Amino acid sequence: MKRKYIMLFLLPFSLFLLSTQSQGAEGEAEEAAMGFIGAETCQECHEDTYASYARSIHSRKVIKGPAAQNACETCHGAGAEHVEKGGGRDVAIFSFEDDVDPEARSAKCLSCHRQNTDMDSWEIGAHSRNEVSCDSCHDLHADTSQRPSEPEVCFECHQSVRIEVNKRSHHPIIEGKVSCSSCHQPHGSLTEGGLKTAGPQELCYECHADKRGPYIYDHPPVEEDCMICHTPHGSRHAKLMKEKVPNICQDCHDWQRHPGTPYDNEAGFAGSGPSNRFFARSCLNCHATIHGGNTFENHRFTR
Amino acid sequence: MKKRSILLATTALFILPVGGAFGAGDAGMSGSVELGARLAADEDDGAKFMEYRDLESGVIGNFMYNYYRDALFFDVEAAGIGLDDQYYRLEGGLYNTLKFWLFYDEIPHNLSFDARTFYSGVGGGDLNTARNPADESTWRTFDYTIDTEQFGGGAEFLQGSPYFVRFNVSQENKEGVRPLGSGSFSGVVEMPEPVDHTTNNVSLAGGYRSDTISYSISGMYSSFDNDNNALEWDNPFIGITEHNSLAQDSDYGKFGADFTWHQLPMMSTLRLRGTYTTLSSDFHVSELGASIPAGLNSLTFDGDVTTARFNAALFSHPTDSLETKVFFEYFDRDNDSTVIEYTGGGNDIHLYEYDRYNLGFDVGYDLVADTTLGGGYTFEEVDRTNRHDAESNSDHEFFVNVKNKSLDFLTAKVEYTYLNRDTDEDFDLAGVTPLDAEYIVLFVDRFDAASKSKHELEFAVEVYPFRALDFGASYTYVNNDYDDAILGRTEDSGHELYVDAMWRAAKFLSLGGFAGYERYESDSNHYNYRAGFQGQTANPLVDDGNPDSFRWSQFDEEDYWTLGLTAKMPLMRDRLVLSFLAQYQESDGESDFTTEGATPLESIDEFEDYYIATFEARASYAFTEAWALNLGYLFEKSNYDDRQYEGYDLSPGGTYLSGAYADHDYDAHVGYVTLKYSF
Repeated sequence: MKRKYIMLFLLPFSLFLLSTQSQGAEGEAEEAAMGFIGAETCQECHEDTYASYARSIHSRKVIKGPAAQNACETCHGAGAEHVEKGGGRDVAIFSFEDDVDPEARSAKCLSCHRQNTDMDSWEIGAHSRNEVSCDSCHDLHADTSQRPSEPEVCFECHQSVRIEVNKRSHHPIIEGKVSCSSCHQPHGSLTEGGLKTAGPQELCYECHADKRGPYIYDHPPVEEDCMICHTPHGSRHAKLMKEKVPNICQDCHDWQRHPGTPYDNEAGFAGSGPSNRFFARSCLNCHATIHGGNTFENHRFTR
Repeated sequence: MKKRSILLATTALFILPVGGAFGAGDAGMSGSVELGARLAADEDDGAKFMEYRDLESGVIGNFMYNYYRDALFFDVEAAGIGLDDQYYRLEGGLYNTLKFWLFYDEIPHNLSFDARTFYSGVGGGDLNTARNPADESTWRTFDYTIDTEQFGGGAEFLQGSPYFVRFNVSQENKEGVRPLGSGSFSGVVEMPEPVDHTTNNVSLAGGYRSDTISYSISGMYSSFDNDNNALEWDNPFIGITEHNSLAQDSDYGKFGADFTWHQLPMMSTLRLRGTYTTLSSDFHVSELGASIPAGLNSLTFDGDVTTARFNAALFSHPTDSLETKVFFEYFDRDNDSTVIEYTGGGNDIHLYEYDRYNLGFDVGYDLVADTTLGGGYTFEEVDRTNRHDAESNSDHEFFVNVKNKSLDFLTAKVEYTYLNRDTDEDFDLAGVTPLDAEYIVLFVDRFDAASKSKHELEFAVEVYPFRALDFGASYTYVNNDYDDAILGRTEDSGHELYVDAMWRAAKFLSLGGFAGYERYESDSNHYNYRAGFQGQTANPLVDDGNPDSFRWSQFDEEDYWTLGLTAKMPLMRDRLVLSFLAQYQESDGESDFTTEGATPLESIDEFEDYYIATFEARASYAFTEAWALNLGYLFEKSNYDDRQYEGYDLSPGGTYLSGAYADHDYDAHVGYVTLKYSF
């Protein structure tokens, strides 16, 4: 039965062998280095910008970056015409302004960073396809690390997430213990939601290994998708639940006796008919092993 | 200060002279040391305020160091040294050749302070009644907290070639107690479950990369160990010792292969990925301590779950104005675990398996006037074993969007998505009559897999009238209509409106703000009955003549809004920086009922109602280029009202609680001062 999976894994390597046949198509002649004026000329007008570049990792000659090539002109293009025309914003020079094609801006970065180990899905990813370029998140002239400051940079676009992570129940994102990139691959992913892992369950179990099972008694939604009951960033409801307990449980479990019993205002501690199926943690007061049961006798997740 | 913290901090400080030894030639070094004190006061001593952070009074310190020389680089970061949420990271290597990293992180998770119990042995796997359950004044006090400690490291070898190898090792330890509810119709007990988990992970990946091709294979192994696989506890209601199963030890393995081919014709990129995982957990019935049910077919459980997943996507850019993506995913979950059966318990239906595949495409086309038209379609099918209410479902999802950025100062987007889900049931109800409880399954549709139609509409606009001002707003409406549901959730809908703005008003003032409003509604139908008892039937569509069986419905509505404002003021040529944050959020829910029963049902007004108000101010004064003084103040106040916790009682009838999650409110002030030296 598992042979079909072996075939699936062989497929990529077959394609690789095919691809090596077309490697000969590479090797187009490089453009002649015409019109380069050197960084010192740029510095004469762009003193502050050059200073920030000089402090950045891009200025270090030892890396295969701008300093090892044509400095400023590696990314901004040859500057002779820009100088001849008296300079000015976007005058015969490539700039990383917002009105410049994001794909072209990212292409400049990818000319060196294409081989980074996490760039495989860049074109397929949501950021690239929604005109988010590398410099939308990375400060190309940053003093030290060019890693974006998370989660602030992410919140600039993901408004709903900023709201969610501040809710009463949340993952420790604003506390700095979980970053956006702990779960998401900002450079693109084959997984929905841009997750780092092949599926959502794999991701959740990285931290919540005690929930992964296997169980004698499965709770099917748990095995399909944690996100059926939980929401990842933040929630009004405890335990990152999408809906309050017991309501979310009763939306599926309508059986005789207590699953189908209404629990109204009177079922609280202060009501006329307090019920331990409602107050405090409600269903979870008894059904604690809701992610799966491991008693040999079926106790419906109560043991 | 913890001994381990001192060790880590000392190790970090040793980096300085090591770095200094290289400090010649084409080298650079920078960093900072920050030391200060914090004073905190919380009138309510609320665990919620300290849920994931250590904000106790005491000494605080941070440290950062960055060094490079030629291709060598070395970075160290230490935050919250000595605190319960301390963090250390060390990273270094040689550019284009080698990179390595080590980390140590502590994450507190404070669930509830000052919980109460009559048991002894809190934190262990054996809870004995040591105090009188009927006399709360004798109960002992403890905290529900879980401390997580993560540490590990890894390295990536590039060797200046297109080939790479990367490995990671890490360990996570969780220690503490969390609430566990258990019981039966005789009575319910909430008690401290011991958490003493260790997870070890190791992963290895290697591959090849070029501008056109990349491929890699990877493997991972993870072992989970729980020091307490069962909890033994005295049941005060029936006077016996009971046993609860806790998380069992397990082993997880993953093998994956990735392939990417760039620069194909029509500017295409092909991505392929396959993963195969195994998850196992073996244990003997004696490990759980519970009595062995009669007729048990196996004394051991060999848990064995495997999954296989294959993804493929082809992205193309055939013309300047057209981009396309086609994709496919296949996922299969096989459960070959031991089928546990015993007299009166046929459990083969509890091992869950399913497979799912989806395929689809999406297209984006640039029209005239900076307008982009997009659209796409996805088909998904899921086949399940041992889930008879949703044996399979087929989804058809379509979306269309239009984006316009013809105006220099505005970008607008509108998107509509429609999903149709058709679900098939597979019940075998031969011999089952309306007088049997299981007859009800004919009428229950579970929202996670039930047939439904979904509509989603989204508007988004970004406005930037001048360089110093950015403004964004978005609105989303989602509606799920579970067309065939007689019992269960029948409809839910949500409205989400968000705005944010950033205004760099002057060189000495930046203002920011965000606001959000959310509304969520859900309707559900239910049936109160006890099949076969005094003529009651499990058919909600037929009046069985018994007033104790009746239909009822519930309507939940939740409103949430928040407002946040930030200000940053660099003054005195950036020597003094003032920053402020004020944020308020409020949640207001309500649940209404209608019933065909004789007794009216009373609405719940206190339905996750809460507010959180936060104010934070910080001043940083750099009195020399190297030395800076930081002053900060944080105020946070929260109040929570919910009918399930109002009038909290540790021992209401038939129940012994422990106070888990009952300390919701807090009113906290935190002030701190630090001196920072930068080099």
